[in-house]
Amino acid sequence: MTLKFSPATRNGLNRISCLLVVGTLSLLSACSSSDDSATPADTNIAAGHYAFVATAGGGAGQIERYSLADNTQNGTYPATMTDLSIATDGTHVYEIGRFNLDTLTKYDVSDTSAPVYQFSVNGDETQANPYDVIFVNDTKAYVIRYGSTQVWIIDPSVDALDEANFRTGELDLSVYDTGGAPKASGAVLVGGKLFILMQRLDAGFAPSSVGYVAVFDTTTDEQINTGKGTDGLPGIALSTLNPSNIQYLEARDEIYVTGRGNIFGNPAVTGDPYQGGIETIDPTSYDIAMLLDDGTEAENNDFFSSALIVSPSLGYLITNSGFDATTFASIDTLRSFNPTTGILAAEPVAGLVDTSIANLHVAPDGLLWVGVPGDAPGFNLIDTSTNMIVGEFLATTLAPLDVVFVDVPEITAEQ
Amino acid sequence: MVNLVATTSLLTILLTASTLLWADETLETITITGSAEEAEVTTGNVEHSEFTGVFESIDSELLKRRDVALGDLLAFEAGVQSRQTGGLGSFASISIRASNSNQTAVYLDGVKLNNGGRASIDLSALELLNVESVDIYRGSSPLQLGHGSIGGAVNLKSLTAKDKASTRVLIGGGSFSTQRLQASHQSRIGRWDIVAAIGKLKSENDFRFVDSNGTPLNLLDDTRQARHNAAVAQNSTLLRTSYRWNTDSNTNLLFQLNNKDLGVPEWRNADDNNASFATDDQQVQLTHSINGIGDWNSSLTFFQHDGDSHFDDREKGVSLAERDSYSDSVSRGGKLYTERVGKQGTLGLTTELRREELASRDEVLNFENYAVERDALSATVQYAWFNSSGKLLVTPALNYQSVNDQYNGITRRNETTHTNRKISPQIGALLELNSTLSLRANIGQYYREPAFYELFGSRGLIRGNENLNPESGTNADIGISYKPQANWKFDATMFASDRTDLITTVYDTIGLGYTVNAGHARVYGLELAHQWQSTNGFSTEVNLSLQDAKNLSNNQAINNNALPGEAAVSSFARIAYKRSRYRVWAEVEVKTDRFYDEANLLPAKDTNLQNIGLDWYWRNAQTSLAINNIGNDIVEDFNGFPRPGRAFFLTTTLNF
Repeated sequence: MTLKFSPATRNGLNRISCLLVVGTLSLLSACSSSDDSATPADTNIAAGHYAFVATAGGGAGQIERYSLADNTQNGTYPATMTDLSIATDGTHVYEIGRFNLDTLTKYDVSDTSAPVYQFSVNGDETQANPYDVIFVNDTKAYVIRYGSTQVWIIDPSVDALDEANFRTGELDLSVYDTGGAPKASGAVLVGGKLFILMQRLDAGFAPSSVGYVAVFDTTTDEQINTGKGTDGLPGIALSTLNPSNIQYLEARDEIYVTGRGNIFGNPAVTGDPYQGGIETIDPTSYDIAMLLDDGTEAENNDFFSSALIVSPSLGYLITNSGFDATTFASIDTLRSFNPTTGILAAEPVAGLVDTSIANLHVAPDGLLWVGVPGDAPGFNLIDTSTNMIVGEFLATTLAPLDVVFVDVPEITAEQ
Repeated sequence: MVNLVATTSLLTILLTASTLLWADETLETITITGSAEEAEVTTGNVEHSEFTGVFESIDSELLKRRDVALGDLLAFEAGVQSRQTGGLGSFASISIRASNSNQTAVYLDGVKLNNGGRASIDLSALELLNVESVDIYRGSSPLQLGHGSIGGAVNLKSLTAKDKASTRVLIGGGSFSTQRLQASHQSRIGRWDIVAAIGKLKSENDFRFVDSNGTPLNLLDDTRQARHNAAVAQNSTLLRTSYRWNTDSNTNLLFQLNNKDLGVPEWRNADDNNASFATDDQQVQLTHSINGIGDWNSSLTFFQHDGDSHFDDREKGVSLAERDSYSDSVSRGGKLYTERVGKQGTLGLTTELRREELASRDEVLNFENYAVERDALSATVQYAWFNSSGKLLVTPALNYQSVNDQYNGITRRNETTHTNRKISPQIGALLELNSTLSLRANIGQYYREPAFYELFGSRGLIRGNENLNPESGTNADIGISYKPQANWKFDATMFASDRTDLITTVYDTIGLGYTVNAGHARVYGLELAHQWQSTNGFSTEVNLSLQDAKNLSNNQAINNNALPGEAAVSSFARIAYKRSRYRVWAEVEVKTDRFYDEANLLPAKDTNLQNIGLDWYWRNAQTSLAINNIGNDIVEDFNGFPRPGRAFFLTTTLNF
């Protein structure tokens, strides 16, 4: 079809059309400019105990701040991606951006609006994947980097303009490498020595080698030959596979390491998947002993996922029986045990059987915080004297990944 | 929100005002004096006069563009949004009405390209040169395409020969070391039609962008960098021949080959990363159409689509673990469309039987290897009924789908086979109130069987879930079309969609994805489209989509949030003016209010792209200059994957 218009109509149509489109073009351009109003500074929180929870869910992650006075959320830090952890030096909180983030972000406990600094911990590498920060003093800390053969030594006290002086050195773990990196996943500081836990998974993330603990002198940053390694390695050879966490209990002067075995059923590993357990390490002699074995494929109490030692007579253990076939949620049970005798309690903690448990922490008031992921995430609070859930469930916005507790003094921060 | 309201209000006012002004000014003066050239229609092609849903055909001038990808062109239309991971040749997909790319069916000459082995079609791998026209169906899909999908359908029609033989050679180049060479020939020799086309694209895609060094809260360490490892090399070939036996029957043979080698950039833009993704796709389709066997017309197509891919990341450039993964997919089968045209309407039946196969293997992690087969039957019957005046069209339809899977090396719910059957009804109505105004309404159910990678995993980055249920959805829309003259069209559509058992990928804390039936989504929206073309060279197009796409989840952090990646407001406007040997155009594309994440904590920067261009026609040559993204606005459709900034592209086309 072809149309013929009168000249007047043509002119009119052209005007209308031009006005329409030019107006629309301008309008669209103008309308799209965001008014990205910054989050107002939040510098007026009351003194007291606070929990800072690294959380993730729905493709995002953030640190959420909770007052322990009433267990309510009273602030969130800028959102980022999902793989987060958190550490504290006692006065600030440090957001550890792990896989695909590779950052360390220092935040003031009272100001949720902006960081003190945010630095990459990749250096010349990529996918450094920091897992933990261990503070030696105000000006020295170690960044445990899961995706690298090097642990970074940093000065956490630098300001945002002084990134050049942030990284002060490295510890070399390359001798433990079993496929790209020794997969250092945690560390503890004991008497001037840094004990670094390494999973030593292979390139396909299969637990084909036993875990190791490397020991460094924090004064000289030299590695100590413990005499407990094999194949000439200076560190301490564990007897378990795929260790998940390391903890020091001063009351018993012991280090505890939880080995998970082949918990994820990696088919590259053959044989009995139950090659985990809780091992103890003497921080002076480096002697190692199996405190609590996870058993065998024929007889076991499920895989050991993670443990928390509360006192010489009380520890908690998350055991894992598998993963939900539809939702992939882990199926966990919380049990208590005696860290001195290694005896597992006959009964699991009531209410925390065959459910998903993300992590364990002890709050300043002595309550055990049991992190629960899922559709209604948060913490169950356990009275460690009775092993009973007490109080109300502390709901978080996103699923809890890690927690630190900080005592916030009287606030004097400036706006 | 203020912006949204302002945009909506002002656009509505503009459109309404222009409509009224047009009406006042033209009722007495316009006369129709000519006739439009009708496209050749063969049985099996979509019969738009019997389709009650919403569709748009991409403007033929737009399809000559070589500075953008097919996905970009589709996203100019209302209700369609595109996403691309980088520059030309990088993975590109579209969503229609907030569906995802798996839920948007892409067809080549009426045969579906999506299959169990490749649920999402990479639109950048489809060469524009090989395409004569593109139709987009939103919500409802026409009978001839079969079942369609939850979002809708895109039908690419390959080049056909014309009465006059033509040969075309295109050479072009532009920013980021982009080079393009294309040649095509179309001719008719007696009863034979012959089409041949070849194309080659190379681009370094080394565009510059501001890299945050992974620290968005620290501007001091930002650097301006070139994108690393994003180069693409792509080749395409199309051969098509058809033979006209007589006026009632013809046979078509189509062969299309596309291969692409693509670098896979690392999220942190690491310069030592050399991960790559290579694809080889070929489609062969043989169609015989015959009319007039009694009252029946039929079209029978046999097809085989092969798609091979190789993801090589043995040096862990982008993956947590070494990967050297191969995926070979095949879908082959037959599709029969048959119709009986009666006095009151047309009874049509589309039946398709196909076998889809996927062999997935990894040379590093060989325990993840598997092979699966799926036999799928789809049958859709529809009656397009017209009332006696021909003003009312009603199209009730019923679709039956069945799948029979066989698994080798893996199981699903401990079984090596799986069978599922579904029946889904659809109905549409179109009422012509007068010669310029028509109303339409559609409602229908759709479902999608999980793809193989969703069931069994992919390249170690996605863990499969053998317990997935099919996605299902109900789409409904109601709309008005105002077309006072052939060169002016205004269309408004309100739509709603309710989707359950949506398959989404959730990521754990180490970045491994898990596919789950995450839940339920409800989408409402409004689409406005306005097109006008004057006789003295001006043409304009304005499209606006507003949608409220909500995730209804049991997870409190996600519930009632916007679906990730979907802009609540998307709009596009273009003005072009052609005079003598020149044509100039300007366009703007805006997307606002979207999030990267389901928790809606990571807002995406608003998109505001302006493009301008000039075409110069001289004898048998056309030279085109396009300047895209003149504001140099770096957009990230996927978080951490920037698209190019300002880019120049110059092409010359010689027509013989």
